[in-house]
Amino acid sequence: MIWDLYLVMPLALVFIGALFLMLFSLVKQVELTNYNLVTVAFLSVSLIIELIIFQNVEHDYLFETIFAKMFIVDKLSTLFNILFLSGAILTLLINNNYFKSRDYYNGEFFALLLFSIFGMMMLAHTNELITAFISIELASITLYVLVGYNHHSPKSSEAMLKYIILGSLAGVFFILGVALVYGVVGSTYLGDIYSYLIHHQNSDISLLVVGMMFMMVTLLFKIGAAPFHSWVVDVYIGSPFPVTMFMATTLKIAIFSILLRLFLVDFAPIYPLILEIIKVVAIATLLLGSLLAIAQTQLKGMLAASSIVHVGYMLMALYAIGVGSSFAASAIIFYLISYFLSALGAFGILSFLASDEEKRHLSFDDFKGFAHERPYMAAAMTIFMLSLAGFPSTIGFLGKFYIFMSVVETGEILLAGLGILIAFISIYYYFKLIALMYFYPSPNPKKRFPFAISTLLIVGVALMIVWGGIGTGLIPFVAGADGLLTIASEALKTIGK
Amino acid sequence: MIELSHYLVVSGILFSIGVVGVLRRKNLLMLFFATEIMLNAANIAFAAVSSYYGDLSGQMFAFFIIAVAASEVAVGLGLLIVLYKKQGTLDLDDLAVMKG
Amino acid sequence: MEALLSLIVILPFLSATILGLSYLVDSKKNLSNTYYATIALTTPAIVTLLSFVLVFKMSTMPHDTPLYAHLFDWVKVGQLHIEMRFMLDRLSMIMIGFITFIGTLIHIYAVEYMQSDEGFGKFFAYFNFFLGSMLLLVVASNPIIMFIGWELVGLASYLLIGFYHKVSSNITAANKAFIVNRVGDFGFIVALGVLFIALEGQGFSFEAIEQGIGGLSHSTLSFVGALLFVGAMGKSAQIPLYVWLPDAMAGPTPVSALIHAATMVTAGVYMVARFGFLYNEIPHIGEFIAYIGAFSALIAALMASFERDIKKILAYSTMSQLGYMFIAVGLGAYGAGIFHLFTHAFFKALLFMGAGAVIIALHHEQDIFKMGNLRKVLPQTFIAMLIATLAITSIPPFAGFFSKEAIINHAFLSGHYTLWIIAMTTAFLTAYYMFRLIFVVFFAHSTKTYPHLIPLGKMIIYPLIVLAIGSATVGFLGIEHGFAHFVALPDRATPAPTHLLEYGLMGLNILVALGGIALAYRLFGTNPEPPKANIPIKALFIHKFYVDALYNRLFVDTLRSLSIFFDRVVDGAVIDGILGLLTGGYKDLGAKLASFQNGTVKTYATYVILSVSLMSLALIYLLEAQ
Repeated sequence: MIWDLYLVMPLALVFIGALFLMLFSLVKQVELTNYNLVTVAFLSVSLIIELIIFQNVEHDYLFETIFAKMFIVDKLSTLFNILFLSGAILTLLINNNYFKSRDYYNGEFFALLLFSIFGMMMLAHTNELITAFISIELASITLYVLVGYNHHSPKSSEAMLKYIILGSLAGVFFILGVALVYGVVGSTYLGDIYSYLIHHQNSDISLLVVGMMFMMVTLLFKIGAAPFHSWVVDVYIGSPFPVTMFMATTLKIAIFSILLRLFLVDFAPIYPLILEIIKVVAIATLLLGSLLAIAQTQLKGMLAASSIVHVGYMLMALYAIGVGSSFAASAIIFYLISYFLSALGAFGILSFLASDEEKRHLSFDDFKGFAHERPYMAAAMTIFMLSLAGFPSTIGFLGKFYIFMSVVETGEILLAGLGILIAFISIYYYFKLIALMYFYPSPNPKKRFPFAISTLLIVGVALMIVWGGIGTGLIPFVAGADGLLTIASEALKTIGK
Repeated sequence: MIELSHYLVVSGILFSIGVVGVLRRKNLLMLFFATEIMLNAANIAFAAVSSYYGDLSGQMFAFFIIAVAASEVAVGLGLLIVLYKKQGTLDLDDLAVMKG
Repeated sequence: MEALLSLIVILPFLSATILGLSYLVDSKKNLSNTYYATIALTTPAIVTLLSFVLVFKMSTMPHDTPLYAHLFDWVKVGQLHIEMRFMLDRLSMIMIGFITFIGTLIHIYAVEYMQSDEGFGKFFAYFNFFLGSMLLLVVASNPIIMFIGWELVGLASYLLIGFYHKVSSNITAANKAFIVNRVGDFGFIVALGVLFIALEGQGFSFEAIEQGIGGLSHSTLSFVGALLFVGAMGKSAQIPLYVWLPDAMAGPTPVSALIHAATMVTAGVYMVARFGFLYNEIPHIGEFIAYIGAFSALIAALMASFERDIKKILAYSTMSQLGYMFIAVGLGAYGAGIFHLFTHAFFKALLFMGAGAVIIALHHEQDIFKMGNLRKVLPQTFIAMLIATLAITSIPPFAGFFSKEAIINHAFLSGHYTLWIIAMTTAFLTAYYMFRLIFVVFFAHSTKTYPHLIPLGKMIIYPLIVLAIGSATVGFLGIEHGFAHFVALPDRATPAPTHLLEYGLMGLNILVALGGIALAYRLFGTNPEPPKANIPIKALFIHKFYVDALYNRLFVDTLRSLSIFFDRVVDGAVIDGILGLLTGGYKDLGAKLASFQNGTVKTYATYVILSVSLMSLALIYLLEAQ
């Protein structure tokens, strides 16, 4: 019981923090920064506990006497929780300036954000389909609100409109899928589904496969995979910066946590049946995403569209899992981390500029000569772009490298080739920004590097990306980034069947 | 005798109605209704399967889903009011500034 | 002990970083030269101390138990397991001993030499970096780490040769050094690749390679050995990759001293000695190396005899002496080769520093025929230079005598008489051109005076004295092959000479050297004349055999026209054309696709439902097919 309490602590802390902030937000005179700090404090404590848990936990169920086997606690869920929490902390701190520069933020914003994280954490723990649905909805509904949080801006409202309609439409498919699975198996526990599949290998399971595909639809929609990607660009552009950042990084990781759990364990026996579909989806995502990204004129739009491409890479690895790659799952986790860092930094710079200057740095043209105006920021931005493009000596390169390795391992040379081709194409739109920053004169005089929590964190993230790119432990006594791969595979080992 | 399959057929019909609603309706409010119908189609399936197996958890899930749907609609309606105040219309074809 | 070994490598890099960062941050030049000099000098001094401690401790231990310092695993992918691990055996011990010691002296010297330069801090950042790279190269326990050191040395030399970067010819010289070295490095890395594949993952440290090569075919080993030597050719400036060495004189004189004495050019010889176990399996490649070395020695000596730039004379003499070392290591006398490397480091550093002192005193005059009579105005420099010259011309008891004699005798005793004759001729020429330098610079024009002489400071003079003592005495270490026994390299045995033969050879060596000195005195002792290209053969020598022109015509011009062709035709029309079509097409496609995103949420919803329907259809098809 005490052990369970200990395991539930991080979740509980986030939940309590959310409630606390909700009440607290009624008090009008509190400064926004304090809300932010309180939120970060809750998240940090939770993160620390998760880090400790990660060392100790193997395979456990939360309050088994009450919830049966609804919530699983293993290294995988803990690892994902660590990612959500650190993602949220970084998002909040990097946007510290941004919050202050806009008048529509208040305490409730942070409460909603915490609820969303709570949903994601639940999702990582879930061992049952209805819980999974509720968690996804919890995370999403709060995000709907957050997307439309800037109620002055018609764009923000429009983004929320698109997101909520399409999101709930997609959500319906999940529940339909669950209904079908429930109809066949008679239970929604992942373990039960697995044992059903093992014991009924010769009976007709078409309905189950259809159910699984419907669930897949929702998950693909949430990560913005083609052909469900049409909302991504509009919603990302319309949302406030912190929310875009949060969606692009943390939400994606959350959905992958359930995707991995579903396809690595519970649906593993029937996964090969829909492999072809996943492959087509992956290819379509890569192609359509890169086409969209090339057409973007706004920087935020480009980052949004390119996030679709990154999902495509991870789907490639997801496909590789089905074909039998031993290594693809860890590659996905590593890629998530690498993408998370790079995107966080890139969005962070945009949000910092939007908060610091009157004109909103949004289109490519606004970045002309940026390197002469703010050399350090431009250097950091260059690192992020290089990492997103998968340039060697950044963590993004290693991420792509592992993904391609895992795909090649399964013998799908053509698919890997396509991935590499798309990576080359992506160099076009990432390097366009670098070229604009460096090869044009700046209209404004050089500015000093502003020392603030946001900027320091951005620089920190940039350094981490470079550190990650070095890969193996080149620097003595400091673990290399491929240590992350080891951690990921270690975490994956504990999921059990 | 009404069997499980009948319930499921009803559920399927309801779901299709919802889909057509999403595709055809131009009013935002109607769109919410349509998704609501689709969710309830799933609810029927849950309840039917639950009684077929004699397993109560399915019906419990139906309640959860109702709760989730309600919260979704609550948020949606909030948005709806904001939009109506600003734009004076709920016609979806008029609510498109951004073209990805 | 392990920690000490690691520190020796890490410290110079650390201080290079500190110096570099300080220099970058300090854009207003607030930091004084003293600050930079303190850091820049402390590091090599500490490193020297550490290496002496290690040398002292290690020399009491048996030679077959090297000291290892494992820092961390660098790469561990499949069979490729590369550790950042350092190894200190007798060979690397000797190397770090003199590299750090002489390096420190050159550092001290450089403080004064560079004192009025704007880029003082930058210079020492590079300088420490150079030293660190060389030490990394030397103590590497596997060829990959060695290659990293090798490349870093190349980089450092590039930075330092082009240090006076405002003059464009210096940049050209730096580029030349870098590019020619790349040619060699290519051989090195290909050799490592072949070796790695051939060994089939039996480990890739030196000791593992030593154990593993027994199973390799003779042709593979020959291939690897030849390619490795291509790498050595580049770094150690042997025919045909020597062209960068004279141009590298564009750098400040301390840089030349460091390149020629303690670092860089010695790397090639060191590498061949390090792979001695491999070359022992393939003596015919060794002979090839020896012949390349001999011809390099001879040709360099010929070119030096007609050169008039004091630093370039010394540069050619380095190439010539390196040729001797390659004769030694090629014939399997690794101990003798390393011994010559060791003594050469002393007198060559001394010669360069002496030349630098002269150059500084004379306001950067480098033409020896514009000097003369400096014996009276720069007495300390004169004595130092004289000792070094006596050492290089192998007059007993100065250092070069013992080491060069060992090499020449080895060539004779192992029956390579052609090599022996070339080596003797070169020895004669060496004596000739070195004393030509001494006579012209210090003796000739005995009435010449220098009203505007710049006085030399203590930091220039003291290192000269220390090195002069070294040049005079370190040769004694080689008596009775003591040095070679100590280094304990896998030397190939030669028949032992009779006493008569031994003394005969020794006498002959001395006679040849004296002959060269006499000729130099006759021609240049009193009234020197600059060389004139009045007969074709002399023109050939003066124009360095037209090798530069040949290389320019053969490689540079061909490449240039080829690249113009590629740029204009292949790249411009063909590739750009196709790429343009492709990218243009892709961008158009993107724009088309974007128009599908018409912004209305209903269209998007339709896409979603359409896709679900399509996926369901595909699924039905898949399930049917199953």
